[in-house]
Amino acid sequence: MSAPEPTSGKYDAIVVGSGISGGWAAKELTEKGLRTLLLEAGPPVVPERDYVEHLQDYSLPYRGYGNRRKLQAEQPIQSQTGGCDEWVSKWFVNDRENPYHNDADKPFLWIRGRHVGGRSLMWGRQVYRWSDLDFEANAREGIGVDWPIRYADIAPWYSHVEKFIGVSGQAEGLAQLPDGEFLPPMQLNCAELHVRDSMRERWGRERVLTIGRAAILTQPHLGREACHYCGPCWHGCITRSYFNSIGSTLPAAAATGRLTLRPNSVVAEVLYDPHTNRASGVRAVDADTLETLEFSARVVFLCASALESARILLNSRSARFPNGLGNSSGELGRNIMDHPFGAGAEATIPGMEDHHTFGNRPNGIYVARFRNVTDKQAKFVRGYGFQGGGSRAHWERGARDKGFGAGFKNSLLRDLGPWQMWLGGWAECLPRADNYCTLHPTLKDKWGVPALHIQCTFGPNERELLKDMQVTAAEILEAAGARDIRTFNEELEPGLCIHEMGTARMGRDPKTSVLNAWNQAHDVPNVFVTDGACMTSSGNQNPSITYMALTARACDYAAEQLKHGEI
Amino acid sequence: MDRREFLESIAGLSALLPGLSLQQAFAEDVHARAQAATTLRTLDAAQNAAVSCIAEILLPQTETVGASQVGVNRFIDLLLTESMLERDRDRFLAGLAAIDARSRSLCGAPVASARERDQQALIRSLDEALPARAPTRAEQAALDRQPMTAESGYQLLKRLVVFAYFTSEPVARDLINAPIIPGRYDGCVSA
Repeated sequence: MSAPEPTSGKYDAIVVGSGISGGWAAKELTEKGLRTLLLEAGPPVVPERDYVEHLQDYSLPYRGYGNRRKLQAEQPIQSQTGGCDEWVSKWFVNDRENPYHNDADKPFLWIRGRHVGGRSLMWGRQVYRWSDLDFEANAREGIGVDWPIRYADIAPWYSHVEKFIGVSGQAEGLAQLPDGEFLPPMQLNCAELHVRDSMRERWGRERVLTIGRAAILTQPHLGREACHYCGPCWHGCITRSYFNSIGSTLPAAAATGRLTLRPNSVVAEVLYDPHTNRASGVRAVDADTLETLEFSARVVFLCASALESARILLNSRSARFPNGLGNSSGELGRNIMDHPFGAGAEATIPGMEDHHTFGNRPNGIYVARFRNVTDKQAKFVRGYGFQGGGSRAHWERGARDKGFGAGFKNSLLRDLGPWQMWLGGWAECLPRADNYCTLHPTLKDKWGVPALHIQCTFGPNERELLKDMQVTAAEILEAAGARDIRTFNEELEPGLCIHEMGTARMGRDPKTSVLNAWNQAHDVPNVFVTDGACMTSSGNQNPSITYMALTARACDYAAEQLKHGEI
Repeated sequence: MDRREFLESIAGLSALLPGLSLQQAFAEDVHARAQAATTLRTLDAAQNAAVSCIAEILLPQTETVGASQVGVNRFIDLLLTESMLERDRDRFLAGLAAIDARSRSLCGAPVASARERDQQALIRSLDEALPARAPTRAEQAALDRQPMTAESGYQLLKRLVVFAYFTSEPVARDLINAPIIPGRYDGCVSA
């Protein structure tokens, strides 16, 4: 029989959220000797019960088509993302219970997972270091505020994280995409090898295609097994071959004996003591009983996701901070960014039909940013990286190809179809004060926590990047001798990339930023925010490894500060 | 290498086997439920005849199973009844009606009752009208506002028939038979 859940108590540290950042905070803080309470809004996930990565289409009621009526009724926003499928829609929130508001003409899609492990269960697993091209960009161009750190500050922490989570990838020696501590890379497939070689011939080192750098093991690593190439990592992984909190950081934290994990704990606010100018703990609501919970600690780490952490801080109001804890700058909730994506080109790569792949590689290719690296574009600043890959359509081409009858059927059963290649850009989003969230005056979630009003649109720079990526993707495919090249721009709404960030940015000046160089609130020194909220700019790389590295770095700093009685 | 062989090849994983057993139990429960649902709940007799007829023309029985044998019509009925948005269901049924109307006009009978030669000619004409590429999201949204025609109805039906056939257990497991746990990835191997 398990011990009853605590409803109050004193800890050294409280971590809010058990996803990618929260898992890291729990691991680092407990390993540094701090008794840590980890509060997660959602229920536990039990891999042996809940993982479904080996269930085949025909084993599901609708074979992957999904119960679209139920999704429409309960998850109309969550189901906009491909990962919210028939297997694991259970890992995305119920939109009716978790409302937020945006103006009808400014749609924002907020995709959320509330369960132990958070979105680390369903994430894309792509990990790319930033470089000083990214950390210096705001200062160089006079946009937003300057990052208070540079690559040299975070590089050792990237290594620290990579060595633990396991990152497969190929070292390329690119200044704008620094190499990391890589496990052996996965293989490129026939079409990708062909496109890579064509790019080398045409562009040399300017446009470089490499295998995706992925938090997926290509060899056994720290007690976890190598990938067995079943394919759908986001359905779970019983062999713990991709990184998520449940399989990696949380077991490490638990092994210290200093972790208390409390699921079903919806944190509503950070409690503030005006006499000490410190956070004294947090107030939460038990998700099942609706009982009010209060926990105290010497330090609080918010790792609930960019918008959720901003919501908690905005809801933490006091005489000293009437507009939200740590918000003397007025920047809390502002500068929302998300990567524009969903534009690029696809085509058929002729030939090689006597070659095929074996296994389901849960990874694609990456083309490192090449715009505004050594050149200077007239129409836009910053740039984008391409993700994508080569494939053959197998039977699925039968849904759109012409043909019918015995020959058609036999062809779909026997032939794999021609090689296809697609390239889609993930672009940088600029920070703008008019992309913001505030507490909605009346709307609340199921647990009585005020909901957000979110206002976020892409601006002219993002639109130019989306245009340019279609042109350069087509150029790359053309250089590879592709045929039937088709450019596309799906005009996706902000939020759908699930890289929302920026709502409590780091900066050098307390007047224009919420957090300092250590992810520490300028106003309240024992509050740290280390999820996407802290980001001062967005880069164009997938951001999770930067959150992890900043979290580990902030934990190290916080532990030292506590030891010396500074906070 | 099958799933169990793979797992047995990995030291220390025996504790994880219960997780796979649970996935298998879930799968067996779904099969039992699907087998029990033999009565059509949305398609009427004429609609079912049209779906079954066209599905078999698209993917006929040869030395391998055809659409009828794997119950493509029953699965489509299941989607129409339980899963598909009502608006999409209505568009699907309107498309089916448009195909039958076209058949009456060209062949003098609904598609299921037409002569085989006429059925083939009708399906050939509809198939040749399929668009060369998939529409973008914006294009699809615009198409969804147009009234259904025999051509758009055929496009929807063909998509569902192919999906229903290739995701059926007899086809996916016995004919395609892709390994669930390949155990390795080779990016470019000769056939």
